[in-house]
Amino acid sequence: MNELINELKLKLIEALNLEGMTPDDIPNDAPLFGEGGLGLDSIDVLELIVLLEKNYGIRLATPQEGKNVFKSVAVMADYVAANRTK
Amino acid sequence: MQRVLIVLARVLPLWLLYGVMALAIPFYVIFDAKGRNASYSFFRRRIGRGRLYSAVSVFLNMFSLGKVVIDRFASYAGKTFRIENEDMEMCRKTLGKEEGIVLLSSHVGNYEMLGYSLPVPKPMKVLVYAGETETVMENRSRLFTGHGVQMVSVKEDLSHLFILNGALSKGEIVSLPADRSAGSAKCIKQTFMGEEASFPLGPFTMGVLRENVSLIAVYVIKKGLKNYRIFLDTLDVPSEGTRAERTSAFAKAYAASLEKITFQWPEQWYNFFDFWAE
Repeated sequence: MNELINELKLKLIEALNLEGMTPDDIPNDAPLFGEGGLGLDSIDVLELIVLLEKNYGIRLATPQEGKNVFKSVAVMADYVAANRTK
Repeated sequence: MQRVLIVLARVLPLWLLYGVMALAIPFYVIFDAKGRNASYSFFRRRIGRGRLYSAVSVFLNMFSLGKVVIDRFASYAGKTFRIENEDMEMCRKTLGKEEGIVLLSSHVGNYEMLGYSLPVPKPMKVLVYAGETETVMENRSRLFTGHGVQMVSVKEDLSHLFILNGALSKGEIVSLPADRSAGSAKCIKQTFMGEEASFPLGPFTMGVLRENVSLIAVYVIKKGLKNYRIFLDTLDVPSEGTRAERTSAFAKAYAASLEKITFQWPEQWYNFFDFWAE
């Protein structure tokens, strides 16, 4: 699981253009959106939706799914591990 | 008021409605200081017209806006407008491609006419912002549905992103307004008509996130009393480079396209605010 978490962090940094950040700068359980976390916005949501689809074959169809999955990197990793098709 | 306008559009000829509306334009020119000043500055500084010509152009600009608004209500009332046959054929061919298409609209001309007048060759989802009245939304929805066009409202829960992304993944057409940055989470600066202006980042990001998506700027320009002309400008964006570079290239290509059409039809530029403000 740690390997997948690290992989996701690297993909997040690349996709969201988080310049100067390393995987160690992103706590596993920190919220991706809102205060106290990465502070991502709506355009970043779009990037994350496509990131999951392209890399893991996961299609999120509703905002509720997105809300549940994009809570933190650790939650994302759990979801990816359980639902990936590639 | 809008329902009355629909009834009037049903029984009165367009030229008469335009004539009555023209009588109200001087009041807008006098009392809408923000719109008037933005329009004057646009013609003076961006188009390069003289003082008197720019002042006259403000009137023509507002009159032109009045005409396309009346045309929308005339469409709701059942009146039809002519789109040239070659445009129809070109649209069917360009928009009928198998892969997904991102159409970028702007506040130049009367973009809604595309959805009212043209049988769109495959499902199309149009992103719309809140703020329109119930009458407009009801009528738009009625006419759009008949042509396979579905409106998607911007929602706080971001459901619009999921709907639009799903549509693109199925090879459908997604239409996004791309010339106003107000209300956007992030903006991108591009040189436009000689100076940097802000454009919303969302449409350009959505356009480059997937491979094999056609990126097309669309303009529907009023050419006569009941005539419109459609311009589809396929934007070339390099497939190489980082996502940020491709997004920037897309925005640059769009700004160049918008600039070209705006210079050609300046009276149909309907952004009545300082487009170049910081």
